[in-house]
This record gives sequence, C-alpha cells and structure tokens, in this order.
Amino acid sequence: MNKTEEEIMAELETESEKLRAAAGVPEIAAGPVSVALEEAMKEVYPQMLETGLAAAAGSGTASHALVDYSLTSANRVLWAYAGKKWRYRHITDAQVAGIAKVVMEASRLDVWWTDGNLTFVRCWKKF
Amino acid sequence: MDEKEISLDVIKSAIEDKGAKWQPSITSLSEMSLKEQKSRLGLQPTNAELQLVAKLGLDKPVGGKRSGKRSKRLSNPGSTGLPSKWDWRNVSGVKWTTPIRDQNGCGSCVAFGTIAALEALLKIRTFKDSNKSIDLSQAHLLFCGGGSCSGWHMDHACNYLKNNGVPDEACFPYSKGLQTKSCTTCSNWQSRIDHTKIPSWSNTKNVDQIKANLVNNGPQITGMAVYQDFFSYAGGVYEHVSGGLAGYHCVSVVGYDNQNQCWICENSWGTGWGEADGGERGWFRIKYGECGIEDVFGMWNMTVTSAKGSGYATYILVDYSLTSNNRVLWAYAGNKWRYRHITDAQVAGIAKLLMEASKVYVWWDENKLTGIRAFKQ
Repeated sequence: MNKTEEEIMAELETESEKLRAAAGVPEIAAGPVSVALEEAMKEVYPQMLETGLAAAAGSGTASHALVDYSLTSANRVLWAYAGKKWRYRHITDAQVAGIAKVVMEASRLDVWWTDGNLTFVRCWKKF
Repeated sequence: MDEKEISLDVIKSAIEDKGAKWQPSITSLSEMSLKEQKSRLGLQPTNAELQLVAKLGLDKPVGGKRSGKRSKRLSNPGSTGLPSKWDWRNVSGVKWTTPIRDQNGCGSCVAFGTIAALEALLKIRTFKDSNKSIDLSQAHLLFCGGGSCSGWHMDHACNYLKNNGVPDEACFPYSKGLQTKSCTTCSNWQSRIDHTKIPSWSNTKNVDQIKANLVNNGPQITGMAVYQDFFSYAGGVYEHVSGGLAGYHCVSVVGYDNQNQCWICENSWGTGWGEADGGERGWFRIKYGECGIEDVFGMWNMTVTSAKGSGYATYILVDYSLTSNNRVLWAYAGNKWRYRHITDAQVAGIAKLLMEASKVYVWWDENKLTGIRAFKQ
C-alpha cells in the first residue's frame, strides 16, 4: 500500500475509462451540438464568457465528484477531480439540496476552476 | 423581341381598343432606354418554360396567334371555399408585407422576389408579428447563391435557402453587391441566418392550390413575361396591350381578387413605378392568365419554421456558477439549444427532476424554454 493518492486516482481514472468503453457509452455532445452550444452561450452570458469563464485558470470534464458534509460543523464541500487534480468549493445546505444533487445525477460533469477553487459547473444529461 | 420603343399615347390607345382596365403614365422606368429597362428584369426561364412560352405564343406581339388554353386554368370564384379576395397588405387591417425595394440596374429580380416573399412569410408564420423588423440580404442570396446580374431562376434561389438560409441585409448590403458583383458577404453570415433556412419549397400551376397557398401560408413567388407597356404601368388591372416582349421577371405575389380577376403583386422597381398602397407605390395587379404566370411559371411556395415549437430534448444541461447567481437550464431540442435562467430553488427542484427523468419534452419560443415535461419509465 505504498501508492500515492495521485497514483490511486490515476488507476481509478484508467479503470473508469475502461468501464465506459466496455459499456459503449456514447460521446456526449460531439461535433455540431458543441459548436451550437458555444454559439448559444454568447447570447446567454456574453459578459461572463469574457470575464468569468474565460478568466478561469482551467476547465475540463470531471471524472469524479464528491460531496463532503460535516455533521458537527457547517462545512459542506463540493469536490471534482479534473485536470489531474481535485478542485473544490465550499457550498451551503441549500446548494447540497440543489446543485450537489444535480451533479450526482448528471451523466457528465464539466468544471471550471481558478487556483484550485471550482468556479463553474456544467451538468450534462443525455437521453 | 420587338425592340421598337412605344409612346404613352400608343399605350393609351391600345388600352381603349382592348377595353383594358389599367392606367399608363410616365414612371421611373418608362423613360429609360429599352436596354436599361431590360436590366431591371433578370429571370432566366428553363428550357421547359421557354417551350411553353413558344407554345402559348407569349413571345409574339399583340395580335399574334396565342393559345386559348389559358382560361381553362382559372377556377370558378367561390368554388374553392376560399375568400373571394385576399391581400397580405391588409388582413383585417394588418399589413404583413415588407417595403418596396429597388433592384436598380441589375437582373436580380429573383433574389428580390424571393426575399420579399420570405420576409413576409417569416413575419406571418415564424414570428407571428406584423411589426417584426426583417430585412434580408438580396445580395447574399444572389451572389453567394450562384446567380448574377445577368439573371437567375427561382428553383436555384429556393434550393439555396433550403440548404443555407440567408443573413440580414447589414451582413451583405445590396449597394456593396452592386459594386463587387461577387460573394463579398460577412464572415459570420452562417450565425446570422436566423429562421431563413427553409424546410421545403414546391411549385404548382394549379390555380386553386395557388390561392390556398396564398391564404393558408403566405406570399408566393412567380415568374412572368414582361412586355414594353408594363414599364408605364401606374395602376389598375394590368394586361398586355402593346409593345413587344422585353424579357422575363420574378415578383412576389401577395394576394388575389376574384371580383377584379387579378393577382396582387409586389415588384422591385422602387416607388417611382406602379400602383400605390397606403401612399407607397411599387405594387401591381395583373389579370388572371396574363404573361404566363399560371401557365408557364406557376408559383413557388416556401415553408418556414415556427419560432415557437416543441419536441423531445436529446440533452439537458444545468450551468451553475459558484461565483455569481448565474444558473441556466439548457435543452437541446429541435436542432438548437434552448435555455432559461433559473433560481437556486429551481436547481433543487425542476433541474434535479430532469436529471432523474428518462425523457424530457420541452416547449420553446425562439431560444427560450417556455415549458417542460419530465417522463419517468
């Protein structure tokens, strides 16, 4: 048990990829759908694209999501493993009941971060 | 073609002799040379259409032998269950047509006639808003669609719209098109086509069907033979009385009038010609069976998409900013992304529900989601 946490997570990611491939999970939003989304986003939040999302240090698809919930304090943390690192954000109880649940049900999770802190999440569901 | 110019007096005399019911006058085109007048046309008929023109004798001068078949196509007024008169310039007091435009000295009538019909159809069917401001680029349709100032055909214009759509006038202004005479459109035109990519089009010569298309869908596009006396038209129900064939032209048809036995049309020769409607000249009425409208060309009927729609979503997204209040629900349906800004409570409510659903049906108005139905099997 001398493996580092990073090695464990890398193994987990490799195994997850194998599982996805074996299950024949289709690529989500490939091609025109993604392009159409980029165009539509300009209409929905143009300013945010210039300041918020564009200013994020990085973004990527999360392979894992966690919700930490302390029963003895107000600590609630949403975690996402993306870009080979864990990114996090302290959240509220209302967000645990809201976005955290949505994250858990999503079939894909895209995240944006700055300095290790999550700044934006996108939850996908494909039918 | 008869290249001899004709005077206003000759036309007036011919109208009287024939008992025609239109008024000639000096117009912005009547004083032009024949060459200049012909440059205001621009429909290049197909071989099949030219054969029909010859068969019907439409290329012969007045008094020449013409086929009497034309009248057989005309329907009996009132036999179709359609109104005896229809005019998209005034439907219960509402005007659905867009302003008269001027193609100038370029054979771009096909682009102008097609765009005029499409603009009105978008107001009527897509946006359901007579005040909606729509100004599409004739230059883009013509020069990027494969046409030129030497002429074009409605089949090609409709096919281009079906495959590509057309951007707004500011993307490729007509004045620029007249200078470059090539496809110098804006670089982002594909993101500016809005609802102009038409799902389908059809052509029919069945007069009852044409009238039904006019009433139940909107303005149509047609072709016509243009004779020299037409350049002096200033009002009334036109029929050819004098002068030779000048060429072929494309216009938009905005209505019909069974009592006066005529089609109501929008031309693209500016406001210095034609009949006035609400103070705006540029319109004309033409007698049923004249100039090969029904017999040679028929009318082109375009369908357009509705801004309002519904369908199953293939993707649902929830965007959630952890640094601001931006929460957006997205659905990909009807080949487009539709969205709605939502609250935190809605993230915890409907957004979560959608993530658990086995399928989702959505309603939209343009890009905005207006309703959602979540299924669970």
